Amino acid sequence: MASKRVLFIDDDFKFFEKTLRKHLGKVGFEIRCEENPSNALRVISSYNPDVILLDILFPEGSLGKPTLEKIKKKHPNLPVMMITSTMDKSEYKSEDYLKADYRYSKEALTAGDFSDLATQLNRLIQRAKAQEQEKDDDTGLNRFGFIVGKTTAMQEVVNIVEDIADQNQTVLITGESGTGKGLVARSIHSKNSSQDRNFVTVVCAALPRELFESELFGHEKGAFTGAASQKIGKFEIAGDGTIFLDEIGEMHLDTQVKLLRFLQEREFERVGGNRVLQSDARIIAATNKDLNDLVTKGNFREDLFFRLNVVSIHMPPLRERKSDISLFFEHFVKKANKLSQKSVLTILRPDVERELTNYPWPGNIRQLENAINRAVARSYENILQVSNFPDLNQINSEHSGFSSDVSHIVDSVYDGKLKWDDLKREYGAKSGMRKEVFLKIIDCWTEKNDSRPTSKDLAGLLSASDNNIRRVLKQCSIKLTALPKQQ
Amino acid sequence: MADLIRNTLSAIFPEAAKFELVDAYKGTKGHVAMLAGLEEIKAKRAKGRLRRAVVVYGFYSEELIRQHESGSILDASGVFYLRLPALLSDIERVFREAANTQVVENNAIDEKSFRDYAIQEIGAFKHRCDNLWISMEMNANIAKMDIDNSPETMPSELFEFKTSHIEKLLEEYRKLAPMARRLGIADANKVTGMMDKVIGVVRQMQDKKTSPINALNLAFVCVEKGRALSTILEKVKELKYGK
Repeated sequence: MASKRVLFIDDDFKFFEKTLRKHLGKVGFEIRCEENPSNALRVISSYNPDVILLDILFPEGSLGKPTLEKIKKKHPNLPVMMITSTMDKSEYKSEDYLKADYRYSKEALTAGDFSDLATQLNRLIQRAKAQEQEKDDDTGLNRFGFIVGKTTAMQEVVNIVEDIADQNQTVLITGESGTGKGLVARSIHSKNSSQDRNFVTVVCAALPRELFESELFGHEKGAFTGAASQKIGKFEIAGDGTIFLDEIGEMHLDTQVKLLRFLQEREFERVGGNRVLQSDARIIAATNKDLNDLVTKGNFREDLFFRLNVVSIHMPPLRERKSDISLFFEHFVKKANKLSQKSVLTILRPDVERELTNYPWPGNIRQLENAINRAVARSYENILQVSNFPDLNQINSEHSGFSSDVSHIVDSVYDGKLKWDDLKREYGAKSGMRKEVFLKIIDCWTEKNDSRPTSKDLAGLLSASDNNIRRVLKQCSIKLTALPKQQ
Repeated sequence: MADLIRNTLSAIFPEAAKFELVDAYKGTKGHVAMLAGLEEIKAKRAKGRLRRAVVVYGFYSEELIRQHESGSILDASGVFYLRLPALLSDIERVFREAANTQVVENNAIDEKSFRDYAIQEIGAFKHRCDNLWISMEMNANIAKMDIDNSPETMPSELFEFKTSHIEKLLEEYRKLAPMARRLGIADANKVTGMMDKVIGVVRQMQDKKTSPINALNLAFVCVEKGRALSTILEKVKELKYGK
């Protein structure tokens, strides 16, 4: 079994090192010592410890507290145990160490017994793992609030988010619809120290041109016809938080001028008002359009583009991150289970994975989420099958040049032109289509005969054996007895 | 930025060579009680290293600087504050005064700054000593268990008693001793002697003729003496927080 890694940060670690290493080593711990707390983050990155033992008092002063804060900011789930000889209330103010997971007195080591320390370390590691698991079970998301995945493009997105979160620059997020631009905007906001402040979204395309200024900057009572009362604009609501301008490429040129003025001066007036107001809100804009192209065509102001494009983040489309589909699948199945009160397993069958990977996903992650939501809602099994993705299956079939006109197929069956062997040949690997065809055949039968068919009836119609039909019905999860007796 | 200001002021006023020019904030980050520049002056003056006058400069009012925990150093002899931006005539006046000031030896550091600094330094020293005694007691107790099982074998934990550890602390204390005396810590004079004795005991432990059981007894003697030494230094806590 792999050792649990302990990082011991203490300027006097030499007094304890050998003994701790020997005795904790016997119970499955590996110890790495670091005397300088300012190296903590660097060592954590390279050593990847399971738990940290952190001293409080260092030669430069009580660096335990700021070091704890730095660690917890960057690695909130990494357990930190404060360990010190200073447990006196006058020197160890517990309110300073609220973020610590445990505090341990070095005095407790004087007996030469490490079982208690080992127990506490194990407890913290297990708790952190359980929390991680719980968090994962709950949402499947990481600390960024979106799925990072394996692609270099998304790793780059994460790096930028980390780098800029604590700063206040304007950010421009580009990418196709449904790639998660809004989630990244939220992530930047939530990782900022001002995360408790407001996050206000303005969908630029949804605002009529004449109302845009009033929506953004507010208006005074009587400013224009219909302005019956004073209205506080989005910038005032955002305060010193974040304002997310979604679909900025749809913004009309007139309103672009007003936004530009705000970005330059950080000042605005409510429509019809005289008082100059200020806002420190961070601006994050997003678009699925090519702003460079819009600038060339004269549909987007170049100066506004430069003002917005201080830091740019590009979200790759789902077709360029197909290796992440399994991660999305797991996350969305969990989410859909909650929505539809089901307990579908997050197992991704190879044939389903193939279907999902072959599909081009023009609507990106949003479309994938919708497809999985529908699949979970309509599934009667605990593992999703290809048949649970009929739309997808249909489009994939179209891509493969196969006719997807189910009604036409059913007609051909009733006309005697298509038999079981034909269907088997055409739909063999496409159980989704097969299920749909079977359901349609059953519907037609019920309609024509005013009663639902038996497996024998279907076998007769398709010139197949009863056993074959029963097997296929079972594979497609069709229970004839569960269907209505009559239309 | 601080270097630029200092270099510019030094270039304009040659008398700046006669005193120290210190940025009050000097890399201090955020809103903190301790200002790095003032702390540096405090440390040097407490150790008797800075006997020249000092002009501290900053962009905040003197009143605000004084509100910081380290602000009282401005009361010490030969410490001046210059708020920037200032007229050249004002700068010249402060500089001339600083250049002509002889630091009064017994007021090189104000009493509050001295006490704060000395208590902090001795407190940190005591903390390091405590760490050593704790590790010694830990190793002694493990050795005791080992000897109970195998009386003839020298437990490896006893080799962790190292004179170098104590010698390093002794060297540190020699520098702190005048401050400890000035703070009025009773028995401050005994500390060096006690540390010497611990070193002697550790040497005895390391003697090849010493049996494991004797070495173990000596280890506990070290622990006992170390703890007694910490009790003497415990007084700093009282000075810091009151009884």
